Amino acid sequence: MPVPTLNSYLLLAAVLMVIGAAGVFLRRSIVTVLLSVEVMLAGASLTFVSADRYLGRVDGQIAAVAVIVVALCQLAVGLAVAVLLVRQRNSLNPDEVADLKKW
Amino acid sequence: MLETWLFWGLAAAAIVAALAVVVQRRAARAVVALAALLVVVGGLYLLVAAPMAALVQIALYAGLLLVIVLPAVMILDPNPEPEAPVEMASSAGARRFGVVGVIILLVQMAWAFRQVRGVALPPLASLPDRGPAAFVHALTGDLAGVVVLIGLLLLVTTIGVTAIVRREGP
Repeated sequence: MPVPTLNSYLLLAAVLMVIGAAGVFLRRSIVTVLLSVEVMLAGASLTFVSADRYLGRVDGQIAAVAVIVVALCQLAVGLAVAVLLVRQRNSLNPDEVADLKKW
Repeated sequence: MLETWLFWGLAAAAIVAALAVVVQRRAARAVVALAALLVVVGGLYLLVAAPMAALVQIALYAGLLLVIVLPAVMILDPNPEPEAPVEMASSAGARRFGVVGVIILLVQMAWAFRQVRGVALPPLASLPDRGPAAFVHALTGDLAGVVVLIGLLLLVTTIGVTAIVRREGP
């Protein structure tokens, strides 16, 4: 087992980012799309924290906490939109909400 | 040595959990997989000596997800057909865009990794304090603006969610 370097952490963060991006683009349920964005944000905050370990500071940890707050806010607003979607269209498919395309 | 094994074990667990979030058919199971991913990433934070970020990640983020988001998702998506295949984006355009987007992301990252290949992490003993005291010191000093921004974001989110959910009519 090679000793983990900064590169190992960044590579893992990138893998999480790519898996999340694939989920955002390829899945059809709006809830899964929101959760995939959370996976991407987990990768982003892992980048912050590992860079912070490399530089020997605490700024990265604070950035990671800010990313967590942003992720939770995003999830709250996204779920509110999903509730509205179910109430008005009885569906969780974001492709059905393409009304702006008709303009 | 132990740190090395922990890193690779947690990395493998993180990738499995992330894949589980994306391919899971039932939204509620995807939320549980996401909580598992966040706990694993919290473990990685502990490994890079970031205890405050790990605490917030595990106690607040994963905890809130399981306590508040999971019930909401279960109400929202009861999923009457448990054996339905994984639902893919319906439009061919979205799928093509997704595949091209992921390829571009991979190429960009491959380029970025060439720049930082083999950069060893400095030994912990050589670094300044990274514990709660340093965290709070930074948050109440130079980075106090972050607290203000987070508060503003939470306020806007509260107003936004209330406005969206109370909305009636088409």
